[in-house]
Amino acid sequence: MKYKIILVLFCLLTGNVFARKVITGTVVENESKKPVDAAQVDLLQLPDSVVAESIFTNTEGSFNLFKADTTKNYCVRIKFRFYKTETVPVVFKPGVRIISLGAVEIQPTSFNLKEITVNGSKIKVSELPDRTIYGISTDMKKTSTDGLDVLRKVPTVQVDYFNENITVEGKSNIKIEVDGISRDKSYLKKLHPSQIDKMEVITSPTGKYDADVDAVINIITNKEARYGLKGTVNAMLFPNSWDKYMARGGVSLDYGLKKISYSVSANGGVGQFDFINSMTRRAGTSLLQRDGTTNSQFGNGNVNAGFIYDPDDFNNLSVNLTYNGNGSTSKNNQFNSISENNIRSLNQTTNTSNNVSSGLNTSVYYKHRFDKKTEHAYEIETNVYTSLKNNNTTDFTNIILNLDSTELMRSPLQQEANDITSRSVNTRANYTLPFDSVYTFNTGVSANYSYNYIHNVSSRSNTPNLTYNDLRGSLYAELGKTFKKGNAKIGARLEVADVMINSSTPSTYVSPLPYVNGQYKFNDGNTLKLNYSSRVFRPSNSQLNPFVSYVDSLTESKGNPLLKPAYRHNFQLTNSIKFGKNKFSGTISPQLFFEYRSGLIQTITKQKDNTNTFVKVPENISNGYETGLNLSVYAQVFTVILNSNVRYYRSHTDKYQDQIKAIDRNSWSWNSQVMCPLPKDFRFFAVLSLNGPMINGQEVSQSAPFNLFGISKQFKNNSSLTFLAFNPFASKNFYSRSTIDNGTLYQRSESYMDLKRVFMINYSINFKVGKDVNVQKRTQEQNMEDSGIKLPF
Amino acid sequence: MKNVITSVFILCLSVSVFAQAPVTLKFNIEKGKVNQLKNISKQNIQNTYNGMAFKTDVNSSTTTSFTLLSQENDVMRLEFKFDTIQSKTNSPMKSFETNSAKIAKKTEYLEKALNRFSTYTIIAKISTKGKFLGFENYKTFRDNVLGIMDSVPELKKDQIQKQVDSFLKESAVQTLIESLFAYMPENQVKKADQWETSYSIAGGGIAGMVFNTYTLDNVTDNNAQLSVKAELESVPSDNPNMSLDIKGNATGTLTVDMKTGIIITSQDKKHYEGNMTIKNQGNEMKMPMVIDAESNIIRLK
Repeated sequence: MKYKIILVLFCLLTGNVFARKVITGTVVENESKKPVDAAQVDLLQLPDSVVAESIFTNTEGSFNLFKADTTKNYCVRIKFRFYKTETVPVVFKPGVRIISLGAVEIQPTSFNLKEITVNGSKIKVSELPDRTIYGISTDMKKTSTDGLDVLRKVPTVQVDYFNENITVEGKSNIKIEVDGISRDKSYLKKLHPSQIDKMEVITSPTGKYDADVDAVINIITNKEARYGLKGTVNAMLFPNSWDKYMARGGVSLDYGLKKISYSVSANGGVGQFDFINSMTRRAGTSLLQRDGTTNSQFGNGNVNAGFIYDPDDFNNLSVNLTYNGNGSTSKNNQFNSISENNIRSLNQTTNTSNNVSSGLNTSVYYKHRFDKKTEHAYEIETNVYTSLKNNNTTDFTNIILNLDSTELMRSPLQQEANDITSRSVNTRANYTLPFDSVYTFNTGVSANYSYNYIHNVSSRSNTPNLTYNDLRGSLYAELGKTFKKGNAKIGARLEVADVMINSSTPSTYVSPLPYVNGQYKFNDGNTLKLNYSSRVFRPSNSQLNPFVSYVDSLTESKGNPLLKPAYRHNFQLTNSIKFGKNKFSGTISPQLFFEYRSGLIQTITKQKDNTNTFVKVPENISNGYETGLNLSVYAQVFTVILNSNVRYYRSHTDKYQDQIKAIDRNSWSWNSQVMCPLPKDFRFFAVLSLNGPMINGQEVSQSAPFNLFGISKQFKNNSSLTFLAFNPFASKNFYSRSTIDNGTLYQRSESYMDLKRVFMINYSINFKVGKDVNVQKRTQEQNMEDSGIKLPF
Repeated sequence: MKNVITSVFILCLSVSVFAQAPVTLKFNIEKGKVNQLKNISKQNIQNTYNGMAFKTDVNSSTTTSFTLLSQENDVMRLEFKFDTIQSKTNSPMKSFETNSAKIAKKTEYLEKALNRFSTYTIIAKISTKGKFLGFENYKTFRDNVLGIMDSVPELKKDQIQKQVDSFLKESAVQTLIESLFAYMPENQVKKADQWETSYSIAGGGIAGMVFNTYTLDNVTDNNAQLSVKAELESVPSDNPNMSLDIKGNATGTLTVDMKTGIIITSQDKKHYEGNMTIKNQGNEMKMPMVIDAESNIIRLK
């Protein structure tokens, strides 16, 4: 009886206590992994599928189900419009109270208009007064072979597939930096895509940069991705025929530890192509018709090695050594038909040019930050370049032909040679001081000394050599201010250059170069930028070299040691608008621009005295301007990425002697790129480039449309195979034409590659192995500080 | 004789049981009237990192107002305003204070977001049994708070967005509200009866589940005295950088106004232990963690 009482008491005093279980999870989209808001989640009791509980996910895609009874069996059903219904079994484990289903992925039905599965390489765009910052997505990194390939996908940047030249909005004098340190193209090829976090494209460079830089591309890497052993291997082939081909290969290795990382890379290539050229020239009563072929063989090699040392969060040291070597042989064969006062004559010129150039560049960079949280810092960078072997030799002969093309007379073999010695030292120091989070002050100095000596040899006559010394000092200062709705930066760079050519009296050039960059943000998706900058363009060694080349018996070519620097003043007003979301989004940037040019350096072709011989010489021509509208569009339409730039402009050049007539001409250009992911990890892309006529001083040049179609397959082992077809519809590949017409001289030149089908196969693989055992304490502290210390209970 | 005593004993027991009339505990809030609760908590968190222990003290105070806008059957539409969210954190790495009621300076972006958090109202649907059913205007509330992002410099945007998300995300806002209501039984209860409630909690990138067992201790002067024993368990996280594996217990008491169902006072003590795991570059670092906390809720209006 006693025990019955205890049993009754126990039953009265204790309620029914069932073991409580909670089923939790999140619903995410299959491709993008984004959380799905308002998906219906049902707890179904088996086997009848009776709904025991029904809820909706919140904006984080998460759900919690509280009504499961452990004595029964259940599954969880997830339903969302335009997505396939997903069912997940629930497995109860003894002693486990929370059953987490994790991230449940739902897949779209065949064509999902509401929430598109995006498998593109969407870029996050941020605007600053002097630059645009592109955040590189994970997809972009996965579908790229190296840093140069990632750059190819950035709006406003064009990377040529053929010769890997980099241009920004058509400008070619581009400075490349990685984390603010000057680098070259070969350094980008050794960057593992996973290391790249963002890319800054600075189209209005401030006084920090040399005045002859058109634009700067600064790649910002993710320091955390530096750890471990990484590498890339790349092989490319244009397998057109045994005598028309190009092959390139490269390998890089990067080993990163906690404080230091080492890298080494090597790239090389060989190739051979034929070009067909022709020229028609009419001057007075003389008419020249030229037809010729050029066979070009080339080879190049590059070795790059260095290290980056970060002893702590305040100091950074980088040392890099680069060797570049190039060699080429060109064989030209030209037939000339000359008609003078109705008297016709024929001649032929053959020449073989051998060119070898190699050089070594050493760079050292050091940065010290005073404060971890602000940009208060100074940096010093020094680059030393020395040429190792740099010479060009041309052997040529002129043949006079009978009218039936048989040889009448042949000149002895002649030779022209240039042996070039170049050395340069460039040092720059910059200091940045931000104060009160509103104002920022930057200042810096730089010094550059370059020595160039060209020893000229000609079998025809004694020729002067060129000794060119350029000592240049620069100073810049700028002040930036952040407003409520924007920011502005005003500054100036002052360059003083002492140039001495061939022991002549040094010429001193003082160039004050002010600049202004301002930005107004209407809202997060709409900004307006106003930029003004002035740039200097200095003559090159070859443009200054007074050596006269007689390789072309009808046209002498020579340099001009009297050339002076040219100047450009550029104004840009740009509106960047972000539009759309999800299935259709992007950025559109219309821009008005005006550029005034003075003393531009252009090559002038003019008749020599009263002969049939012409002279080509670079000169500082008259002034001019270019103004127009530029429109850049970066858009994602469903899974297709479109990158397009249209430019319509008017060019004006003032009259220059009798060589250039005052001319106004409208022109345009359109460059676009399309990328589209396909099933089974295939990717299709196409490039189209169209240009209207361009004025280059005396010449109006035009090139044929360029188009490229490619398909790429990504494999699971981080390798990819790409097939590209260049200009598949063109009758003449890489065709270009230039025309001079100034009333006294009419000249039309054409050239194109003697190759009908140009296609390329590229295979790349990148790897990343090894783990860094010492996890950065700073990262852990940062994680805890951001998320872990303050708990919700 | 023995049988007589046994029968009397059972009879007394039955009488005493049936003599306590069951009570209905549910929310019956006056429409339009502003109610205000203040929650004061003290946490002591001890982490062990690389063999070294370091302690963090977090003292926080949250004042929440709510008003019944309308009620349809058993579903209340309540408008909430987080009048003040104040927190003081002392850790070996740094100490900092936040106060959502204090006007932030121009470049104090996180504080500006907190100001907005305390300025705008959010509407939630809660059943009269205290079950949280969802927000009505969460996206508008979120957009209003995130309006400060327009003034944040580009270089700081990502960092500020991450910090604001830790308290602004829907589950974190739900946590601030749900714990103030999730103590009602489904049915009528009488003295010594027990019932259970469960709800999720989130904040600072971490999620967990609270399992409460309430007991009706007494009913006096239209107030119900409840005691609670709670168990907490963290939920496995999808966060690629950090996860928390923690379990613990809490005990406490509440005094509830039987007329409205609203808490008059409440006190509790908590103790949790577990590990925090930081993930980086494929490596994991586990840090043992012990948390002791006390909190008090008082009704101001």
